Amino acid sequence: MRFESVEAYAFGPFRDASLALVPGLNVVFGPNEAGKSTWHAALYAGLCGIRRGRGRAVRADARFEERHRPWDANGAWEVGARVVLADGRRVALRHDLAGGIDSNARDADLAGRDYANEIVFEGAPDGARWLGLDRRSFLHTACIRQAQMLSVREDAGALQGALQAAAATAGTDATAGRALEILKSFRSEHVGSERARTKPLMQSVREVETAREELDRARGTRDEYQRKRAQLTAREAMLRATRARLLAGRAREAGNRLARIRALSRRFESGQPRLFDDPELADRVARDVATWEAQSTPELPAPAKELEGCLTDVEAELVSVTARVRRTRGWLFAAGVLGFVAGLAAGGGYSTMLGWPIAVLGLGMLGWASVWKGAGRRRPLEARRARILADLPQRRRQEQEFAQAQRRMEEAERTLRRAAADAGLEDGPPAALVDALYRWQARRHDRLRRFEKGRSDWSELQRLLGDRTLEEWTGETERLAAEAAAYEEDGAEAPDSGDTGEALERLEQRQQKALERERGALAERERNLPDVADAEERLAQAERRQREIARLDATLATTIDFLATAELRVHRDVAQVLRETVLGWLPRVTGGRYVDCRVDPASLAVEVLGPDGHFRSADLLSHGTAEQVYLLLRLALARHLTRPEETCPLLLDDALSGCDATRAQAVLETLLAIADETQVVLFTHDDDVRQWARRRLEGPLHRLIELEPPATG
Amino acid sequence: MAATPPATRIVHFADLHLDASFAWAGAASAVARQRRQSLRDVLVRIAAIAREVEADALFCGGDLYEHDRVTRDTAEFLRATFSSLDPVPVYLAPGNHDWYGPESVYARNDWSPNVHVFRGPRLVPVPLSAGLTLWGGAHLAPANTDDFLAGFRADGPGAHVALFHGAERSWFAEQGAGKEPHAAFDAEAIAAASLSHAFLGHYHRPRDAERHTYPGNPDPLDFGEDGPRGAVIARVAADGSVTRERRVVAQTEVHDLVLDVGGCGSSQEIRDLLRGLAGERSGIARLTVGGELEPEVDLREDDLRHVLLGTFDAVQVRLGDLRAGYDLAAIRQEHTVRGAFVSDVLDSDLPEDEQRRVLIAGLRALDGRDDLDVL
Repeated sequence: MRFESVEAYAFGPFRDASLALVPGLNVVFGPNEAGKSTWHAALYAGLCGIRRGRGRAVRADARFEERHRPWDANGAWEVGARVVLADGRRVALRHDLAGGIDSNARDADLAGRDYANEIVFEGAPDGARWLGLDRRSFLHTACIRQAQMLSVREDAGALQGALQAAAATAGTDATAGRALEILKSFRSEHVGSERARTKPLMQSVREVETAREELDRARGTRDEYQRKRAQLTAREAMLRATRARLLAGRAREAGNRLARIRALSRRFESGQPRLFDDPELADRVARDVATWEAQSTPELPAPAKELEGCLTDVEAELVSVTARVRRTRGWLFAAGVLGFVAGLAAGGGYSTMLGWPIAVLGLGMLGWASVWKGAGRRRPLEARRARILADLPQRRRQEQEFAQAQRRMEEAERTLRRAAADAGLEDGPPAALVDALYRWQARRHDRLRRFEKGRSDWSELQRLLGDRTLEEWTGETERLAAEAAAYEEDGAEAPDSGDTGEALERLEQRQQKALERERGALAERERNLPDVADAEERLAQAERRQREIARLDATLATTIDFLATAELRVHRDVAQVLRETVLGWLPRVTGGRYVDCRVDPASLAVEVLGPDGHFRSADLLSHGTAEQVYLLLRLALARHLTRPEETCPLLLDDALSGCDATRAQAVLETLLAIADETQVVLFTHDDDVRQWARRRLEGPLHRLIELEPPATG
Repeated sequence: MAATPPATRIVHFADLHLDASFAWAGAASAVARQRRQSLRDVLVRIAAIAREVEADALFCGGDLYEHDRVTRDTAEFLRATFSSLDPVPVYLAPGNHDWYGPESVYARNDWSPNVHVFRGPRLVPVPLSAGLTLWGGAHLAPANTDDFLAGFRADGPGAHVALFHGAERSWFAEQGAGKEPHAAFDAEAIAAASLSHAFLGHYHRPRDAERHTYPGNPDPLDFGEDGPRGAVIARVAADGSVTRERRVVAQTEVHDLVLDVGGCGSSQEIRDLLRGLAGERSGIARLTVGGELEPEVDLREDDLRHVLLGTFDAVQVRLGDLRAGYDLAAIRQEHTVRGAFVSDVLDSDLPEDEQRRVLIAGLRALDGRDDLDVL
């Protein structure tokens, strides 16, 4: 592509002005305020137009409008350019910068044919699209400003940075390396690694873990509560079963009690039982009958006078015996004394033999007479008399006792008859009276026993009734029966443990207490029951956050991967293009001082082979050589970034300001060389450049265009 | 000629899901709690309707609450609310989310005498009014409940209606993902079982079929719930024919907002647009973001949510047809790292959404921007 002309219909200070250009090097000279920058801007805007996208204008667009929009053209702001494309088409572009409606790109030869649709970009036709660029990248690719040249001279890293930026975004924005740094930094800050515990990724992991633990805890607590609740339900069922049995027992007892009350009540309809009795009479009868029965008919004893006669007889006989013994003993004494004396005499005198026996006999007879007292005859009599004397007092006492007994019997009979009379019995013989009195006592005993029984039953009735009436007991019994029946209907069943009512009551009390304890504990647990829904929501939120961070991490990782890959590939391609382009021009523009160069694909660092045979970084060359290399690299980049079939013109706006004459000449020579293949438009106010142009620019390909100085006065 | 008995008035609802979890409500648990409170308010409204129309009975077709999350406070609320209707009978047919068990609220609550809970897996009758019998059944587990109508036939004189929680098969596909066919049955089985009508629960989308009624969840549980859901006032004539009137009882409005960010040159413009979109509405909102997002616009989900939370109680943001506002076709033609990057990403087999995020993140980084948390 090359410009044939630029048309300023209403642009800045120009109205319907035109600037014709040749295919080679165009040096547009003009003093200050002659409109160089305006024509430079018009060239750009005539090709590319301005962005007409929705939304607010970007700052650069606003600044461009501020600088170049006419303030006295009734709102018109129009610019155009006539270009020749590589395919031979000649296209007249016209941009209605104010409204964008009338912008077009008509074929200059085939009148009426509009190519605008081919090149619409961001809402307006953009001729840079034919180059494979857009109005932003064209600005950075084709337009070389004074500041860029200055930066190459003054900043050792600027050349490499510019190359990288051009490779990355056609110079419009950051380099790929910077973009990767931004991505990695952002990833580090907003995601972090698994080792960075304070960064969002691990924080989100911990938040999820915490939330999940909280949810598990909430569910566990709830499950535990449900389990306790089930236990309580089972205990409640047991209590109901116990109560059912208890109530059934109570209902049974109440039924029995009511039946008993009813039976006793019927019996005592006439009231409390009463007893008519004379206990004193009963006592007297009992005593008199006993007294009577204690009497016995006395035996009539032998009279004492009979014994007194016998005693007299015995004593008379005893006196007779005693007199006879006394006489016998006298006789014996006398015979003994005679014999003893006769024997003593005969024995001492005349006849010893005879005398002595006689003396012994006589002595013997004296002895007998002294010891014999006739006991054999007296003793039985004395024994008999002793017996009689002994029996005689008893006999006399018996006679007295008999008499007393007779008196008592008579008295007992009298009292018996009196008692029988008091008891209302007919008189009769004592034995009959006794029998009658016994029967009387038996009747009384029966009467007493029945009374006692009645009194006991009455007491039972009173005890059963307590302080309630029969009707009240009937109601209570019915209530208990209904209650028990209700429990049965409720399905409460208890295994028959054989416990008594009291045991069941104790069991019920124990169960009730245990139940109340558990209810209290359960109520407390229930009050502190965590909200499962709340915990689920917290987990969902934490998981959402984790997913977002994971998604961001994946996006950033993928982006870094793609970008790094693209950077490597493009740098490799760019490095190749840069080297080939620079090699094609370098010896020519440096007068053979530099004949070779190399480009590092990783960093796009450029080194040139100097006269000393050593490669030197392009950044470190002399300013003039560096600028020449820079222009070559820009040319190379323009070629690289432009469609292969097209060439991108270079527009330089006062790019040589500040160069000394020698360096400027070197650069101009380079541009002239480049202009053999690429249209170059150089705007300058430098008279040295004008002079050089007058000398060097010849033929139809190159041209010096001198702008009119601004009118004065 | 004998007088025609008056129609029996029934207020029917289902699928209230008290104590449900609102995970979509995000971290603002206060919002979720507010949603749960709203569900309770709806039940109070339904009870008020029952009083207002002098209903002969109130039906609940299951999923009244969520067993795994229900609180004692909710149990007491239910007891008090239904008790306040006494003597109007309340018939409760437990569903798969509030299945009947010994520890369920249904079993544990000390219901007032007007509340009747169906407790068995087979339909059992209760006389509803003269000549009208109600058959009801319960889910006894969260899953695997058999068809209530399988082998069932309503016996006895008069008309018969049923109340249970089950999935009518022909309409199952309409319910969308995430719905399980619990106690599934065929619509034809209702007539075959000599039932005049079945009052049902389970499907959250309302439906008034010839012989069955799904009232739908009365208060929003999620987004995308359309149709006139709420309480159904049904009048059952002596011959079993049913006329229905629907009452909207939802406390909360649910809005599906669509935001086209195309043409917005800054996040401020988008926020202004969003405020205009929200207007004077209230309730909960789901925002679908679509359109061509200008490259320089730093659009973040949290920013959008923050704007909407100034108007709505809860907000869900999702992506629609959101496209990067770059001229990717042009960029990929560039012989630059950017062009190669865009070309590589577009040619990759990344999912479309991921492609978009990678492209925006990469192009922003190449622009030197650090707003890389791409929506």
